[in-house]
Amino acid sequence: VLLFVPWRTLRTFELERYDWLLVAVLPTVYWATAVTWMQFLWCWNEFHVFLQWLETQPIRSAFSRLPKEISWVPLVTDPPERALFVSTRALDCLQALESFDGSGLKTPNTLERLKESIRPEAKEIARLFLEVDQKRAEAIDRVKYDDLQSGLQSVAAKIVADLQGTSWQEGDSDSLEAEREKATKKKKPAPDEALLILKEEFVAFRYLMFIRQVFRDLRNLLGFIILGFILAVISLSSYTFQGHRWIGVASAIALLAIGTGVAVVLAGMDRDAILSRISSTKPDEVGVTFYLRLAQFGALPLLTLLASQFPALNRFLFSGCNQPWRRSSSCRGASNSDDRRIFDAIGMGEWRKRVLSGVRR
Amino acid sequence: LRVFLTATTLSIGCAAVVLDAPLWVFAGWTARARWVDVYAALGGVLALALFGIAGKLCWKSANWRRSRNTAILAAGLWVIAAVTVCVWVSLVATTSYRTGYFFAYRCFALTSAVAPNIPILLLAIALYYWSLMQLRREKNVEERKKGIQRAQSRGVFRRPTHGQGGPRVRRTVFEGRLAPRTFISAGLCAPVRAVAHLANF
Repeated sequence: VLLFVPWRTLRTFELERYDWLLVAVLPTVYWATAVTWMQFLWCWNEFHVFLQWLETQPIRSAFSRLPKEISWVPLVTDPPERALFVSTRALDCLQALESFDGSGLKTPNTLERLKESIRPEAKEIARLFLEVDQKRAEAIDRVKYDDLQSGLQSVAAKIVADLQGTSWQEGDSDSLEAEREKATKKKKPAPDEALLILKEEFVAFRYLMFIRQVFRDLRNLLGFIILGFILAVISLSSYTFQGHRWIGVASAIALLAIGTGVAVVLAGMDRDAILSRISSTKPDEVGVTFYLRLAQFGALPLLTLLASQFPALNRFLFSGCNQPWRRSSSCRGASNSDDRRIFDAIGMGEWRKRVLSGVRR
Repeated sequence: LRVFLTATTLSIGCAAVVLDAPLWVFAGWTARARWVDVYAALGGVLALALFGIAGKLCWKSANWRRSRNTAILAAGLWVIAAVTVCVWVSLVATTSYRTGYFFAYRCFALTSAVAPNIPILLLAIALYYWSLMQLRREKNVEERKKGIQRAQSRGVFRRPTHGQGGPRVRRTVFEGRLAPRTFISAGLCAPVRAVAHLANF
């Protein structure tokens, strides 16, 4: 805010009170944008630690196997997602687990024990899911939805306990797994392998739910950072302020600062191992998705800033429109015909003529 | 939630005053434009109603006693809203050299680059969107908290199943905190505390 030197650059030909009003309101918007920007960075920092921890857990390979239609993370877009999308898949997975034929397993007793222990929850989950699903068209019943999620969580905890006692205790190797995948690419996995995939997928869905929730928050924050900046730039270029050039320079510096923070977070997301597994990209590498996301988030603020500073670009972008910022940066000053139209429209054309002739005299 | 609801209401209220006050100058001047009077009156009523709602939201001091930062933020928002309304009305009502009249006159020429209401309106929209975004965020955190409490009451501790992932992860997952507790405990001055509150320390 200090960069703007608002008490000097926001000077207008209005009464001084108006200038001071702007000096009070504009920093408030910049303050809100800065706070949201901090929230965005901190939220990612916290979440990044969690993702790093998740990468050290044996569950990590399950994220690579998740189908891509389920595992997108809603940062860039807010698609009209079906309610209970992940929960439906988790329920399917649970049902597959319940009906799994353990005859070909090395230790069928372990599976039977697990089935026995999750049976009461599985029944309740199926009942709750039906109840929630029936009212999906109206509004999801939060209490029942929370019960459903608790049930799924309870089952996940039991499956994790089972995995910790069996498969995860045996250990694994990423290289070995890659080789195994190559070998069994077109073959049906062995029963033990299939069971492990089912169990891990169910647990991975719980994490995926959480990851998606955090990404929704991040998108929410990022939305305001962009919109707040754009509105501030437009408001500064929609009026003939004295320090027009300096406002442009200060806005560019602000965009650079905000953009750097956002770009660092987006690059971190692209490099993150778990998110790379989910989106089938290479970890520790900034790929195309980073540039696409950057363009998606950065293009609009950058264009707004450039359009507010370069009249030629402004005319090109907004040709056919009569935006205030177009006028202010290209041909400063009020149009007489516009005023006449407005006063004619409100039935005060004659009165306007009289007043103007009086003023001229 | 209350403070962000207040912010939403106040920003719409200020926008209503900024849009409506220039109409008051022209109200009753000509019989051909009765709609000006109607809109001026409607805008005035709307602005009053919105400020009334915001006042009602902040009325009980018990709501603010629990959180000093929230109270500071609400007070700041009220000060900005009051300054906006007072300055705007005073600008429109200035009679010397018909300054107020020409000020209101330019408010109608929205695309002229000298409409003084456009920058304020855009900034009000930005603040409105900010409060909406914060409301959405608070709602998400609240829902998550309720879900966790419900799960705990059923004997299920709803955390990402195995391992704890350290205290920072716990804070992110269960307490809905989006930022670490860093310099709030250093006893910094009130404005910094208000910033800290918003950053959800």
